[in-house]
Amino acid sequence: MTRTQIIVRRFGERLVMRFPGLANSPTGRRAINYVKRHFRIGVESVGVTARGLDESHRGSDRQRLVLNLLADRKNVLRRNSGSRTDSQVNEVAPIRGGDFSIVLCCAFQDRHVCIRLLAEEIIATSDRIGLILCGSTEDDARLIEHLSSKSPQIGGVTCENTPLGRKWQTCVDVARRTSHAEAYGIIGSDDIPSAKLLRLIEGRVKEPMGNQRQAGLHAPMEWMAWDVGGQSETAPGLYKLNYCLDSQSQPLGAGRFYSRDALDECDWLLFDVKKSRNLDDMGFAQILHQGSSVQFYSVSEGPLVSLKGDWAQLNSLSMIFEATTVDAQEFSFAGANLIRESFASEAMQRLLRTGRVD
Amino acid sequence: MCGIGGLMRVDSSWSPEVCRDGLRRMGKSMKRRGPDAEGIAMFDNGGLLHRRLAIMDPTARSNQPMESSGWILSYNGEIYNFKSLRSELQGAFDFETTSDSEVLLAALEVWGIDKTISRIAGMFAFLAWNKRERALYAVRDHMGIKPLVFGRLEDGGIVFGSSVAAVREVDPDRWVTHDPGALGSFFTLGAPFTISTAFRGIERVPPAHIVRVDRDGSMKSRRYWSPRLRTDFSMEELVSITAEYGQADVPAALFMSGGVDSTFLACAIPDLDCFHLTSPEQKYAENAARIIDRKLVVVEPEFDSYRSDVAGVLGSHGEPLMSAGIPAAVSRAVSESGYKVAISANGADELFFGYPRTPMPEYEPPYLPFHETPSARWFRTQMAQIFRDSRNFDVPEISSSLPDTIELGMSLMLDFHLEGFPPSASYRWLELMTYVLHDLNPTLDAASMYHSLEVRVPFLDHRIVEGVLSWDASRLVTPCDGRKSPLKTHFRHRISPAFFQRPKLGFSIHGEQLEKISHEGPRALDSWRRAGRISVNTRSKFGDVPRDLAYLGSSCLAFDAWSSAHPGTGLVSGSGSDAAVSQPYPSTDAS
Repeated sequence: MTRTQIIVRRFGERLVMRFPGLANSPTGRRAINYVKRHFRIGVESVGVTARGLDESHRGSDRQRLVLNLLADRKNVLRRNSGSRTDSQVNEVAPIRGGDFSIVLCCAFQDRHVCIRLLAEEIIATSDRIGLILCGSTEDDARLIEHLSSKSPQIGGVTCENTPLGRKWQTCVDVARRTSHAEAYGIIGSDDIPSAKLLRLIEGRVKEPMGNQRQAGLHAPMEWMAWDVGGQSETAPGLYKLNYCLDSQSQPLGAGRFYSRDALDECDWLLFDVKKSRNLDDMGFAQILHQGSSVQFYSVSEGPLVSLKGDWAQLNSLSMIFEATTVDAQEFSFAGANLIRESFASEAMQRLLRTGRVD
Repeated sequence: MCGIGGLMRVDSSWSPEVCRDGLRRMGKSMKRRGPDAEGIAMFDNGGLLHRRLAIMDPTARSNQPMESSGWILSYNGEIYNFKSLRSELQGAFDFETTSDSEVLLAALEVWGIDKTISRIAGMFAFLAWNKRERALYAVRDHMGIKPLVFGRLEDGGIVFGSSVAAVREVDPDRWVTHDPGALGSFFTLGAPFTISTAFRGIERVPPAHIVRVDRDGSMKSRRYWSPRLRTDFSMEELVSITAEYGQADVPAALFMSGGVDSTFLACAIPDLDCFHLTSPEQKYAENAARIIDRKLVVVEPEFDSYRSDVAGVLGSHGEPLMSAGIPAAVSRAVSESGYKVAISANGADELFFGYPRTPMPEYEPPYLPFHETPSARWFRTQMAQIFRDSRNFDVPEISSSLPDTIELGMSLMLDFHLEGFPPSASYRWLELMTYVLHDLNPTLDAASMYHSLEVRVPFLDHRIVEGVLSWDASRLVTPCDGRKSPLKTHFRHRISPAFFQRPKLGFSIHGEQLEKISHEGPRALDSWRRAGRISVNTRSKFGDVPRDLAYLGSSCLAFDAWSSAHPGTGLVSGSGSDAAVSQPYPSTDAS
């Protein structure tokens, strides 16, 4: 997909979302037609669905993506049968506070500075947002206890770190069992969603746009990366990232918010419990299979920041820059100001001033 | 272009004669800034000084300070739109001269301070006593081209001046402590970039700020200008503004390197002599001057007095500057050739993407002419070329005051974001507000004024700056023309753009001349290392270490020249830097 096509597609998304009756200009028609070829359109959101596939998609990237994911899901379901409760779970601190609008699930090990920042941002954003943490070490457990003592919005468990898919699924299962919310988010252990994004999703979860049914998935298509490592080769600087080429329809893996309805429909199965990599595919496949609509978010609507620092990383920023499936753009000035406007916690504002987590 | 000073007392025990003596000492210190005349005007609790370099209406009737019924004015600089302002003010004010100074005085008289500031364009710093309000106003130009610093006296009085050295003359025993924050920033940029000057207690008036001092000594400052989006800004307007820069009643010359910027200026400003220092680009300069029909003066600069030039410039300026030597030699050559005014293309590279270091996030040309380097992709690359990474060296005496590179980067991102402009505008604005504001402008001002030469910089006119910042990167860098496309397009009908399809060299010194002075910096760095005054390591991969070491050597050399001229109590160790005076950047709304 060319840059122009991406722009046209994004323009089309905005156009049909916000001005469905006004999109009669040649540019608007062109944009809508382009989007229609690739996505099922609803006025409330941009939908992605297996049911929308037809003859015109034969051989397209889009068809490959959908069919591959669906095939993968069948395998996953077969493999997962009966294995979800295998993990030994140690309850550390329960989440308290009754009903939530959103509960975030975060599996982590170490990276405590990031988890603290995440917790502070959630507490500063709303008391209707909960956080379920799933750690693996004694230090992780102590951190969960400490954060839970600071706020009833935060609770968590520990379990084995591998396979990572099982750890993440355990976190989701704990969230299902111990909390009630309209939507559940998957947050990476070095990702911080902004108050602006959380409040936007919170609002849409409560009141879907127009009379349409709620989106099954709220997902950022763009995110920001911020290198806070003292000696790294990519600091200082802020970067805007999105998937491209074959992965261009894929929203960010960490930072997805599933509606309760969508989760119920797939029995809350979002991760392949035997895998430790490519964990993002299955949750998206569930949404594709259901034919649920997906609400996409850009960084300007509400940023999610991926912090890169002096800790072990599967994907360093340098590697991301080399990857052909991720488009990275320079975003320092606009990004810094977006962070200043979008994040609620003093900790994030302090980080913005110093550029360091320590 | 001149030197100005002002003293205001709050203590009644301070006699007018003491005040006048202080002003006289300041005037003596700034004699080279204004060799043509000196004037002092007293008001009820202070006085203003003016040392004049006579450019417009160079007769005694335009000497300053100038006085009207409501104001006393001491002003340094040039207002380039003064003729149109004069015609507007004609009915309301009886003009006695043809100078821009009197137009400024008339504007203050008729319009008051705010409207005057909103209408004038150029480079200026002025002090104006309002007789009715009994308040002193200190104003600095939009882009910080002209210097203006101030210090508090022991009794609460205040002193303003065009140079740190002049301010110190008022009470030499008061400002003797070096500011470690300012000196730390000097080693990473090549010039202090803090609010505080190199002497603790003497601060800069930030660019585009008005400071008001009341009779009781209380001060309020506010920013009067930030770039505004000008989607309607046209090339015709740019050329028209540039043409104003040729106005002078004394001989004026254009610094002509033979490159794009100076050729554009030669085309846009009529009837100017061109001045070229011998260089490999001489044939291009000769060719351009011949086609545009300009007289070209070619001079070989003299570097025998390089060290004494540096010492002299930094002595009269009062702060260390890394690159004063070459501009000083060039200014001397121009001045000795009989010119009082020179026009420079400073700022064009930063504004028009002349450097590949400036990222263009919104645009990537599909191809570029063969000699052009693609733009840097990341902010980090740009920053590494402007600043030296403090992780790679240490000056033990000011170790804790060397700016933290990461923290500096974050503050740059936050402070220089231009909302509503094309994304690339912020990256260009950053260049203008760091390297140009703190290094290029003071260096050029100090070096040229040391040789009593006024240097004008049309590309730093605030009207041009905000207009060109409003242009998208795709307008400034095109596949066919490469960088600075609008400037090349302007003279396309006279000189083929193919003439400029060559690697950029710029207005610099080349060959044997450079060889003569190129050993000075490394020698100074070696001497510092041996004496344990600096240690160098290469811990980070930020920037270009060999290049940074060359700059560090020049900084050491300049530091020695400056500290010899201004011996004080020495550097202050540890973290003694006062946060209030060592703030890295001017706040946007200081009060």
